[in-house]
Amino acid sequence: MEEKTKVSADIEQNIAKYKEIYADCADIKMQEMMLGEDQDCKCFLAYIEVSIQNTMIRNTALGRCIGFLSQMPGKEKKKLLDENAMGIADITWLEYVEDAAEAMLTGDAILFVDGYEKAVKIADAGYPGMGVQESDSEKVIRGSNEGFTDSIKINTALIRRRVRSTRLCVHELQTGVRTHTNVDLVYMEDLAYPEVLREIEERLKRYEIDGTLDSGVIEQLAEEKWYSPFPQFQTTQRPDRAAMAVLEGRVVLLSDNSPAALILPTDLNSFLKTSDDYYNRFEAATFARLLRYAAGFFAMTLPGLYLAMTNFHTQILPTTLLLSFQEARLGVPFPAALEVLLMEISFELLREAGVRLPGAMGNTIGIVGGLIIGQAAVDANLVSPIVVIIVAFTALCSFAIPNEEFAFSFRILKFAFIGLCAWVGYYGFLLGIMAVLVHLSRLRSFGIPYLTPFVGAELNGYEDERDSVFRYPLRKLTKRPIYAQRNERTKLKKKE
Amino acid sequence: MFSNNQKISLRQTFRLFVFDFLGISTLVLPTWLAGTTGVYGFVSILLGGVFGLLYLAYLGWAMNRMQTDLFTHLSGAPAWTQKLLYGYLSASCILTSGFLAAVFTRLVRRNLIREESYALVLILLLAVAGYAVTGGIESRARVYEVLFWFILIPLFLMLLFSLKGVDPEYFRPQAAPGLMNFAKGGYMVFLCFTTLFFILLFPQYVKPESSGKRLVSCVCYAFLCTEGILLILYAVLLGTFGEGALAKMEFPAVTLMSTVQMTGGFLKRLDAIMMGIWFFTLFALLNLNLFYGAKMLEKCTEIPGNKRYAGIVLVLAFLLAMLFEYTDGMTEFFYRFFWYAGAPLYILIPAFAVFMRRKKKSE
Repeated sequence: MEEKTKVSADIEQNIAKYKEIYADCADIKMQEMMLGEDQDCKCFLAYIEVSIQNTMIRNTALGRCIGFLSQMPGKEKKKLLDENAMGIADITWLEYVEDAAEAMLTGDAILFVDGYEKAVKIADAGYPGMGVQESDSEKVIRGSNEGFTDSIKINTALIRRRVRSTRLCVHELQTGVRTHTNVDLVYMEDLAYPEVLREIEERLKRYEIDGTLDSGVIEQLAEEKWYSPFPQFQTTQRPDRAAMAVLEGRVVLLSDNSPAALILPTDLNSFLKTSDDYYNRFEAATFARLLRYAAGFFAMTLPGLYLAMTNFHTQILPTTLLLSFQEARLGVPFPAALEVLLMEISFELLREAGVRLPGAMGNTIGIVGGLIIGQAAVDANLVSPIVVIIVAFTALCSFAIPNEEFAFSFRILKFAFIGLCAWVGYYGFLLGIMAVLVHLSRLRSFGIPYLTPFVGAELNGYEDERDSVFRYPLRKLTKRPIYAQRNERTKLKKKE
Repeated sequence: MFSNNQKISLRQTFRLFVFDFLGISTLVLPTWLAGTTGVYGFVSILLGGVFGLLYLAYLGWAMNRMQTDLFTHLSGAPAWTQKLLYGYLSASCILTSGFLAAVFTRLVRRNLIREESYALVLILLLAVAGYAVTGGIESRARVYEVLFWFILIPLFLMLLFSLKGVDPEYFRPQAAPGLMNFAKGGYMVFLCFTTLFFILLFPQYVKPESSGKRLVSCVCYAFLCTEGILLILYAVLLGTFGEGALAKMEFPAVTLMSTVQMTGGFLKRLDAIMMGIWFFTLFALLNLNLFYGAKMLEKCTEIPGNKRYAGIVLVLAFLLAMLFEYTDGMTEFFYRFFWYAGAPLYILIPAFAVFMRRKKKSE
């Protein structure tokens, strides 16, 4: 391990070392100044450009500190700093120059004072970032509109604002050898299983990685079955969803610079729930969930089923329907399988283009692609209208799945189903369903079977089944899910 | 904390056994029974039920004596006995897997993809089955716990819809077959339920508090449930096709589905869709035999390696299924084997296991 340099009483040594560390860093501002009653005390202030508001503004912590120091006689400065007599809330003393240099990267200012054998870290404006905004990917009709931001500190505060409990713990870790990204594990002390927390920490430490620029990197490295198309961590950009997860005894992982929080453990059912399922009446929530489950199924299988029925098992369809299918396909030069595949790929291309293009242009792509190109393709007899309907309906189904990562797994599996059904018809469909089911039955998220609560529901007295496809009335949902510690499962009871 | 402990619940056990029983019994029994006891097939089903219940009681007795699962119980027996026993059980499971894979493939080709090659359908089937086998019993149990109502509800609905085509004339009593025929019919039904034997291996897979009496009663419910379904299905098939036609059909239950007309239905014929029922139930039984075939082979060789044995069993099942399809008399051989050796040995083995251990103790 590299030996560290202790902060010296001689400020020149500290300055020299600090400048050596940040030799070629134009964005780091290093300011020497003479402070004190007689301007006889040399100080050295280092900070990242834009992370400090203005040192002359007296109502910032740093401004206040410098103000104090400029009025103090030389001898009293040490006492003032040691005792934090300036009354600064966020102040840290550091003993090594290297630690001070690293601490500055969190966006704070570092101050060296001549004759004082410690460096002082003072928080100021910090890195620039976006404020709290509405989440784009998880819209709800009813409920909070706040979304997570890129700043981990704001994100933890957003959760704490919703869970004002002394038992809410935030355990901070760092990942990335070079990025030193802060990662916070947010959980309820008495609800989360300590084994789950240990396992999460163990998995976070399993890899030594250069940099973690988003929680997605952590997710991929910590997943047990990395080859599975199904996400084993749930993501959310909504603080209320994260707070809800914390109250269920789950652990929320926040990563700095990422607006996506990871929720773990998770299961298939959780991916199909939304926050407003709990804010709306149970009939509405149940209906929405039924729709989402059906959407998940059709997003994966509909194009394949269409191919199986029209190419192999035409006897299933009523003659009139079959004839209209055939009539619609008249003049189309491609085999049905190729036609479906081409349309699906075109749709995925449109979707990708729509996502990448800026807002207004993205919408235009949707209109141009969906309406104009689609209509032109039908008119030119390149595709049949029925295939356009099938592809559009499949897309609609995939958009109805509330979690993007989860929807993606269905979108990718859709192509496997198209292949299987085009090859061996309904047999391929059945094989595909079996393979997906077997795969899902083998998946676990931190020990929780992925198919919970459809399997192993007896572990929690069949309580979790009440909040699955059918959402029971809130007053019947008295127990926490299986994620919470066994003796802390009651979440609702009538007052005596 | 939760873990992958290879333990399953009683609900999972119940559902697993229902599927294990349903597959082959609903497919082949109606034809056999119509040919043996005709209109009186119900008596055979009930008689088979009595045999099955007696067998289950006997297995319960053996489990009670063993106080553990068969593997653990036999671990103290002489090595040659273990090898012989596991070798036989493994061979029996592999042979049954081959037979089931052949029936499965035939069924799929006949009803879904007539033009596709037998080998290809078989390979695809065994590939998915292999993936399922390597998942262990937990994975298998979870799949069938999820599928349970998705299979049973459509089956009941279809049986309900098909009642429309039942002709009471077909139930008119005929000349009663001989006593031997009833016994034969009962034994046929019993043959389809010999998977009950595997309950002896279950104490290691269910939680300790669920083993013993609770396990036996759970399997008993599964057995009675299947018996009920079988009785209803036989009544519907007999009433729809009549004794003579039923005795000549290969898979009458699937044929029945093609005749069902749903009033105002969007779909014209449902046999292809309803094939899913037999796909999943036969798959359960095939999976069970492949799983235990691999397990027994592992026990027999005493070299650990779950995936390796699964691979061996799959290859053997493939070869056997090819033999069943392309060799005359192979199916007949299987029936004879099961009739005269397979089932009787499944009856004798529990007693033998109990006796072996007792002898060892007294020594």
